[in-house]
Amino acid sequence: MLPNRGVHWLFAALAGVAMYFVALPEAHAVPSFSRKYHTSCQTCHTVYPVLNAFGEAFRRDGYRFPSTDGSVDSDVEKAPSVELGQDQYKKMFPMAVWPDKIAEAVPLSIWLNGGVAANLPGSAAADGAGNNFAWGGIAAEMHIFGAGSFSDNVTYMAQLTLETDFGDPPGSFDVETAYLLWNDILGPSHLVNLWVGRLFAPQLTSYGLHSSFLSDTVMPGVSVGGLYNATAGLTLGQGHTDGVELNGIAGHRFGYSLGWIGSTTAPGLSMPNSEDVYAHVGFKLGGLSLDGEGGGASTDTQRPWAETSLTFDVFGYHGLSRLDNGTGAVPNGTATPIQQDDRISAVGGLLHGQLGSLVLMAGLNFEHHDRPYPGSAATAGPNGTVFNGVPDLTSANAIVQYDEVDYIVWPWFVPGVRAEFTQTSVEGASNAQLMRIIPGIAMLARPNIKFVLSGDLEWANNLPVVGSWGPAGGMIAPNPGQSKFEAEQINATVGLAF
Amino acid sequence: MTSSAHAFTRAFGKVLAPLAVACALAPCFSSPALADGGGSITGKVTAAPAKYLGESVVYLKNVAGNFGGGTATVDQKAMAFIPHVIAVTAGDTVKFGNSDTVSHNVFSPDNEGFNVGTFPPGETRTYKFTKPNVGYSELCSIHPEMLGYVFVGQNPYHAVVDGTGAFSLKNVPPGTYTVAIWNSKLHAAEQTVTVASGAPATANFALTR
Repeated sequence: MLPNRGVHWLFAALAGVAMYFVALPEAHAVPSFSRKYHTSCQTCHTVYPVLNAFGEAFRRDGYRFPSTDGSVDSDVEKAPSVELGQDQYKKMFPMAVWPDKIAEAVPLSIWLNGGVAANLPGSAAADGAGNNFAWGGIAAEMHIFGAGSFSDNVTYMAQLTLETDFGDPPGSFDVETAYLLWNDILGPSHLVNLWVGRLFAPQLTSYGLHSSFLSDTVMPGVSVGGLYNATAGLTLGQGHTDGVELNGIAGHRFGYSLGWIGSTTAPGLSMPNSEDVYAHVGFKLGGLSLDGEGGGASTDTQRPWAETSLTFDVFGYHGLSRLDNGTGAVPNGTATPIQQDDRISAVGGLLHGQLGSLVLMAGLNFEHHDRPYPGSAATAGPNGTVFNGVPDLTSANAIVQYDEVDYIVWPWFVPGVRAEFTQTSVEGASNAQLMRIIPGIAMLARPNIKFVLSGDLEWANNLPVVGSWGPAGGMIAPNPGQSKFEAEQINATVGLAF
Repeated sequence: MTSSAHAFTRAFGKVLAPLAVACALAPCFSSPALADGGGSITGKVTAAPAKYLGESVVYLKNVAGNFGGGTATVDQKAMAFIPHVIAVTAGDTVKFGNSDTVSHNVFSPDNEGFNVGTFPPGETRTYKFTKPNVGYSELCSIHPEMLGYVFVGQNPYHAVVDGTGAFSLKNVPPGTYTVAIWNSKLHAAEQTVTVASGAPATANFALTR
């Protein structure tokens, strides 16, 4: 049984606005590492935050330089450290504290980012914003990063985000990332690593969260649950989740991750038992090995980013999203939210290829939700009577497919085009589809100053249950059951890292 | 300790401090003098990473003769061992000083291990090194950030590599020797060098992991 769509227009509009701001590019180039190693952003990045092959290896190795000839990370560290115990104390353990170190200078860096959108006349984007252009959000966020190492195998990353105009509520701050990376805990280097804390992101592929030149994340930020229920919070593969991840690389080219992270819940509801688990395996053919230590580094002195490679990744995810099902009792006329646990199963994969300076990505996710819909709401009757709502046990499925082609013309100029397709499949109702085409150019004015210009062309057939494509990043609003194509926006995003 | 003892300690520390700096720049030995008239071995050391270059000692292995019996001094000042690296001969005694304003301890978990105990400013402790051709880290259990090294040669023909990587072994009797290098973290292969009287010989080392 489907809920009345009209009831959810307000939720849908709110979700759409929220998704617009969620989709703002976040900070993920970390000058703390530049300071630590006295090296340029371009050692690890092309147009940041996109990592080049070496940067991906650095990230996978737990924010450590790939080893050469038995070297350790501190061999290439140039910023001075304060030893909290010399290495020789390891011989004294357990009679002495296991030693480590901290950076002599506080290892902080700052990232400012934001963007402005020109809403094309007559588009749903213009209708929703009420204007065609407004100077808003160009400095939407400030991120403060702390990153570095405590030893040759223990590293850390933390990120505090201050939001100027947006957020929930506006002016809020959030510890988006704060985790400890305990690397090389068993066996050969990189085979078994334990990362604990507020993870940057669950690793569902071999690539970093921000491996797209034109979008914030390589895996689209689609809240499939949100397409069925405006209170759903899970967005597959996105970041900033508390938990623990075991990951590693075997034979330089085979990677894996196993994670257990916190489940999501709608505002006002109790936190459920953490039930989200995931696993991923990946294999890279050609190019620099996954850990950067198995050969394959580019020998092209003019184009050090260039390589010929193909990486296969598959993942599985099972989780729980606690929803407000709207069926609460109404004591004294005040609705009490009643929780509804929607269990999610998802599988997916990513193909990432590179042919010289040409970068190609293609990904596909299937997501199943066992009961994502809110039921009919409880209502208060006369004289204090209460009519309880009725839960909806309908299940739902979705397909998310995404592709991106980019060409690194120069290290500061990368044109590309991206496509994101989302289909919701609802029991007892017509499917709904959204296609977004995002052509654009990512540019560096300096190694630490970037601009991205992109367009947003949208086609949709039908509307999802909540009545808006906002949770899938779309703005187009066809009439129910009909198709529509529309050019929505031209976006300019800016970033400054120091 | 009495206040007069403290005053003495401070005064002694002021005297010792420049000495300690001097020791950092020149060997702090009172070893038996080496025979004049020999040759020399000089050379250059490179290290990858370069930051560990200064923690290197070039030495001759297994020279015939009886050596040792001298003394050397390592001070503790501003929470650091001075000099950071010292080379002595098996049989030498190292006198560990404390020119700081706080108590220190000197110990090493390396080789046979030793611990001269905790001692206040102005006092000294000694340890006689007998095991040849090995390095010892020096640690202070009260201040875990402190680190220094003592290299113990079998003979007095050893030299701490300077900041440019240069070293010089002087007054080496004519003969053929194995020249080796000790480093806190890096390694390089030994070399065979023939020394002729009055003629300089050369040995260069490239330290790596």
